[in-house]
Amino acid sequence: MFEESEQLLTRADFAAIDQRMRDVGHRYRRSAQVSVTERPHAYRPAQGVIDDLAMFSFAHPQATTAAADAAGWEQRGVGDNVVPYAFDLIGTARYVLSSAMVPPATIAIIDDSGGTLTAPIREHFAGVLCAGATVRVHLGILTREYGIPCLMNAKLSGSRDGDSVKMKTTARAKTAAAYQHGISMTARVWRRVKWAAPRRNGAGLLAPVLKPFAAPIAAD
Amino acid sequence: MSLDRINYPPLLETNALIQQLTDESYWLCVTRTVQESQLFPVSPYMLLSYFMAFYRYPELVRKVDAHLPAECIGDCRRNMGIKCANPAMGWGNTGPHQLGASREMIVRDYMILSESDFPWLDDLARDLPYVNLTVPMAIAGWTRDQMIDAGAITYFAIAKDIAHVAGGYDVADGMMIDERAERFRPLLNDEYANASLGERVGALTSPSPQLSAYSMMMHADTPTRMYCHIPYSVLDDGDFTRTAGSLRPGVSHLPPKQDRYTTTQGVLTLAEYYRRARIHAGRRQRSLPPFVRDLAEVQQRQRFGARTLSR
Repeated sequence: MFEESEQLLTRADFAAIDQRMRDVGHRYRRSAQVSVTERPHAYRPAQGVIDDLAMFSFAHPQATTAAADAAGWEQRGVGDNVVPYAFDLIGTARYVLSSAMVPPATIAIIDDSGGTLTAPIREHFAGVLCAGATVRVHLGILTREYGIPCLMNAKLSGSRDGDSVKMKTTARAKTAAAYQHGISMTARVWRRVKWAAPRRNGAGLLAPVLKPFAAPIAAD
Repeated sequence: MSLDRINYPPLLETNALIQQLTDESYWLCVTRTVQESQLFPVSPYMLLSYFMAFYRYPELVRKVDAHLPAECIGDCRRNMGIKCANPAMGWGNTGPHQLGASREMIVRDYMILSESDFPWLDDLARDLPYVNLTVPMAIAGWTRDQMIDAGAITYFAIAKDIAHVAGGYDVADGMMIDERAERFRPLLNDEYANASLGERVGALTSPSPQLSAYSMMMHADTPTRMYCHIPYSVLDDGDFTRTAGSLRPGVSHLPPKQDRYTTTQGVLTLAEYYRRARIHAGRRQRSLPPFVRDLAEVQQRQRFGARTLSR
């Protein structure tokens, strides 16, 4: 029966399904850039297309946040630590969307699980916050071998381009067993907030005016 | 194992191997989670390689086996100086070697990186003097279809090195997209391919991966499976599907493979490469102890004497 089975469903039938889906308005979710480049009308616009980088931030619904501590570090999320280091890393957050060169002390925030677009400049990153995958993907392996602190599966909210951010890179590395058994083993991510002169809000309470530092801070 | 009848011990042995591959593959997949890439349409090419394997592997295995039995291929492979476990992508790992309390080293031997099987290395790798060294691969300017072809062929061609050892390799078998697999391409958009691959290697929610409630899959903690076992019923009636159809022509969006193969004896055509390989194999055969040659002959007779397949 296998000798004729391909005649029962042909390429034309499969192409008709694709056409029908697009006719009813469906647009495919994309992975590879080349898919969108070749068929721009068949795919959804890329998520994270940033019109105003200064105002953009990831807004992950599961990002764990906490108010600023006395030193002005406000928790903006968590990630899975690839490998523990002797220090927590402080640097400047940059949403990296291409392989264009980045300034020193950049902590690259990327949404690509493989980080393939950033491969040419990866060794220039001070640190990496990757919004996808686990510590066991290529990006995790490569950053570990380059000695670049990296948190994978990062759930972040409210960290803007240019913020001073701190990664808890002294945290334990997330293990394969932890993934397998659904055990939470995360490292925290903060951004530094500047406390301006206190002012009273309508309820009579002190409220901070939050501003990120402009200048990057070298790693501890 | 006789080819027209499966009996009990080989059935258990084969199912144990399938189970081992299932457990290992599932664990690797779920602890990595994501196979996507912005640079390459990974899920589409992996699915296309699965389609190719479905249609072609049964006949390709028979074709290779007709040239040289599996036992002899396994023996010959030891000459290649790599572990047999993963010759698939043209590399082999050795190790891990402990370097200290928290460091391990894996030595990766790259193979077949000069002009060899893959057509996209023909011009790119022409100036490389050695075939077994690492090279960066330029893919700039490739279309999506070319990327998918190259990825699918790389995955599918896991078996090509075994065919090389047996001297039973044809370019069309390994480097072209099977026409039956090719017809699925309109469905291989990124979204469908991601969903399908995710189901196959992680979610396991469709009917065929479900097992009895009294079963348990290692690492999954659910009564599921990734790869199907050979059912016991074949022991009674011998009724199992032997083929997904005969070998058929293929297509490719990549340039055709040039007949140039870089070897330790220079750049050869495939025919010349095989002619010299057969001379080498003959020498090796003559140098074997008599009882090993006898064993090989017995195995050959068992296999080819029983070659009465009913399709």
